[in-house]
This record gives sequence, C-alpha cells and structure tokens, in this order.
Amino acid sequence: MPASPLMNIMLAAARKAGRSLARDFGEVENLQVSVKGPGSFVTSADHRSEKILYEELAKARHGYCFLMEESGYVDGPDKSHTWIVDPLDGTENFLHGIPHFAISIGLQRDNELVAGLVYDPTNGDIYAAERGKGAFFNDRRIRVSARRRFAQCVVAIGKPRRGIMQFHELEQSVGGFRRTGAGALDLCWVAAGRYDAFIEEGIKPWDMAAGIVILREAGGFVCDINGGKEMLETNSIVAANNQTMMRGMQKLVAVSE
Amino acid sequence: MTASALLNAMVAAALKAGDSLSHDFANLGALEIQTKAPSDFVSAADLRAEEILFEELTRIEPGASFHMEERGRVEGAENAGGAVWIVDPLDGTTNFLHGIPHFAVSIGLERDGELVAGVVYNPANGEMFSAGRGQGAFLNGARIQVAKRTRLEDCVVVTGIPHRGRGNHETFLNQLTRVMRAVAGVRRGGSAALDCAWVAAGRYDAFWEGALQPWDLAGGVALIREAGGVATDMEGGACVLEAGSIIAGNAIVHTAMQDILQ
Repeated sequence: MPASPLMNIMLAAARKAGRSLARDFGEVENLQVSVKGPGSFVTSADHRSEKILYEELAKARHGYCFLMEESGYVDGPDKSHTWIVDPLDGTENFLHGIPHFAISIGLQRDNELVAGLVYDPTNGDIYAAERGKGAFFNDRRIRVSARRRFAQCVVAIGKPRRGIMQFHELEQSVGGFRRTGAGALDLCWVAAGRYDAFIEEGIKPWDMAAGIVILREAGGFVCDINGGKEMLETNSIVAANNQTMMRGMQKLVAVSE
Repeated sequence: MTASALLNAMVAAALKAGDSLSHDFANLGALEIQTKAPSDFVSAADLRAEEILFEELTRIEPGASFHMEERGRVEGAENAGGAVWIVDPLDGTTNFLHGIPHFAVSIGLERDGELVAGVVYNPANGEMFSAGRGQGAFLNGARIQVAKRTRLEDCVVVTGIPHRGRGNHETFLNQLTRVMRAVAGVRRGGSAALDCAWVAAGRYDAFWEGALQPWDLAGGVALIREAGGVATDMEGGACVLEAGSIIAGNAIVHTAMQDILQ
C-alpha cells in the first residue's frame, strides 16, 4: 500500500467497517438454511457498515462531501473533496453466504479520482492506489496482465441488463467469461492481472470509483460503454489491461442507439 | 478401513496434492518473464498433482481402478471390490493459469457404480469440502447443507459456458436467457468442482452445466447429495457422471430448474 496519512485513514475505516460486516456475514451463513433467507438482516448489515465508514472518514477529514450507496449525496463545506463509498459491494453474494464482497472507498478531488481502496473482509485482502504512486495488493505492487490476444483473455462481466446476447460476439472471441457478482473486486482483479477485462452496464459510481483509480495505477484503461470518459455519469464501464483491448471490447459490446 | 478413516485419508491426499498446486500457483508471477509457454507450466503443475494423488490413493485402496483427467482409465485388480477413484487433480485450469484463486483438487470414490465419498479442496483459500455416504457433508470440519430457498426469483445459480465446439452453444444461450429471467442472479466461477461444493455449502442455490467430464463432477456430486441436495443429469436421470451434464440444488429448486431448462 502506498504509505500516506490518507491511505492510513481509508484503511482504518475499511477495517473497522469490515469487522462489522464479517460478524454479520457469520450470521448470514447460518440463515441460509431458513426458508425466508436473511433479507432484512443484510440491509441492516449494509447500513451498519455505511455508518461506520461515514463516521470514521468524516472524523479524519473534516468537511468532505460524501456519495454513498445508502444515503446518497451528503453535502459538506469542502466542495472540492468527495468520498465515494460502497459499504457493501456484492450485496447479493453477502445475502447468499458467498464469501466474495467488499468495501470500496474512492476519493474525488476537483472532479478527479485520486485515491481508492477496496477491502475484502472475508480474507483481509487490500487493494489500494493513490494517483501517481502505483497500485498495491496488500504490500505488493500490482500490474495488469500482459495478454494481447482476445483468445487468451478471461473477461469478467456484471449483470447483463440487456440480456446475454449483447455479449455473444465477445464471448465467441475470448478465452472465458466470469461473473462473480462484485464489481469493485472485479476491477481490482483486472488491476492484479487475474482478469484481463471487466464490463458492466448499470454499475453505480460507488461500485467503481476506487477500482478505477486502482486499475489506472496498475497500468489499465477504462472507458464507458460508448467509448467515452463518462463512466460515473453513464453508469457503465469497459475496463481492460491495455488500450487496444479496451477499444476492441468496447466496440463489440457497444449499444447502437 | 472404516468410513471415517477412508475420508481422512482422502482429505490427506487432497492436502498433499494441494500443497504441490499452491507451490506452482505462487510461482506463476515469475512466469511472465520466462520464455516457457504458460499452458506448459500449468500442464506440468497438473501432472505433478495427479502423480501425488495416484500414489496416495493407491495406498488407501490397493488395486482400485482410476479414472483421471491426464491418465484416463487405469484398470485395477479384479479383487479390489469394484472401487474406482475418479480424480481431477486441477479443476479450473484457466483460473489457475490466470492467477485467479478459484481452482480445486477433486476426488470421488465409486464402489460398484455408486458414489460413496467425495472431497473437493481449494488450496488457494484452504477450503476443504468432504462427504462420505451416510455421514453428511463438511466444510473444514463444520457440517454444511444446501440452501433452503424455494422460490427461483430469490435464487443465485451458477453455470459453466460450454467450450467452443463442445456442447451446443445455441441451446446453452437459450437456456441461459430463460434462467436469467427467472432467478435473482447468475454466476460463472470457472470450476465445476467448486460450483458443486458451493451448492453443497448453501452458497449457490443451483448449478447446471452440460458437456462435463466425470472427473469434473464425481467429488462434487457426492458432496451435494450428502448435503441434502439433488443432483441429476439434464434429463433428470441419476447417472450424472455418464451423461456429463448436471442440474443440482435442493429438491424444489432442482425441479424448478429442470422445468426451465427443458
């Protein structure tokens, strides 16, 4: 992890909220065997995590604005800084006792994403980056994969909201598809060279803010579904290990209006 | 050998093969600067793990037959009591190759055509799933059960996409489209053995896939059945390994999935 006061603040907040999520996840695993399932319990786990993150981050950096999954936009006196926070990315996994979910904290300064941290409480993994300082997986520097041929690539996709046929052409040309249900982690896994690309439409700013910083610092590229730079505005992302792959994949999944 | 001693021995064999895989997995990072093709590296890791399993499992059940990914069929002695080890030393090869920590050692034991024990082990996170007939299914020693959800719209189901040229791609896409409309979410993890194990543990509510090999499924099917789940081939028959296709979940979800997939 890049050593800086900012990173320490983000990590401390994530770990504290992560302890709360891990405790609740233990309960959720037990609730799988009840017919009703743990639905409302999960909602409160989500809220608890968000409250901890809000309190910890607000305490450490006075006046920053917030954009959060549950509370939405929370205004602050410092208009140039916004924390973009997902207290529980991969809610559906969490709900089903699937140990693949994360806390995602991004920081925007003057409309630019400058820092990101994604924390997986099930195994303690930390993905983190600060602009210009490189991307890290725990204490190790990470880089995107070097793969350059579609046929060798493993591509993660989000929920196919327009149906699977949107991905048919891409699926035919790449080595494999994965869908594991946590966008923030998917982005980090591209940054770590595990996946070669990640594509999702209908993804929210808090799902991707941290991951975008981490991916870019790992040498990766992102664009929106139309090939532009409006990921947060269009709720869409095409992320890949290099620019050529990103362009190639974006063309295959682009929506002709 | 008692049933529980047998299962312990299977677990020990999986751990030993898993250690070998973990060692190779940790060295993947150095691979990018080597000239050797990554697929050769993975084949070597696969073979090393298979060698360990062949040796260890032969010791447990001398004279048993084998059905393994790399070696194929190895006929055992006639007096071995009809025991067949059905083994995949590395399920989820693509994940392994890409550094994705989601792959497994899978061991199933068949006696006179019946699955009697199964072990699925993910060395990357230390999760050991095991089941012996009549003894229940376990994850790292704790009892596991399939999920109890009954409405498809609440379910998360996992599938595998058939390799190009293996299975009927059009049929699969039609099935996938129908399933996506009916369930809460679809996952694709890239390891059939772990897909089965995660159904047994109640993480996924259902799993379906066609065009599989017996060694992808043997360990996992034993887990699902001992965890209270139902596993059949795509037509609803019990001969999952022979058919090479699977639908699995609790009894209610299984039936609902079968209706959608027909």
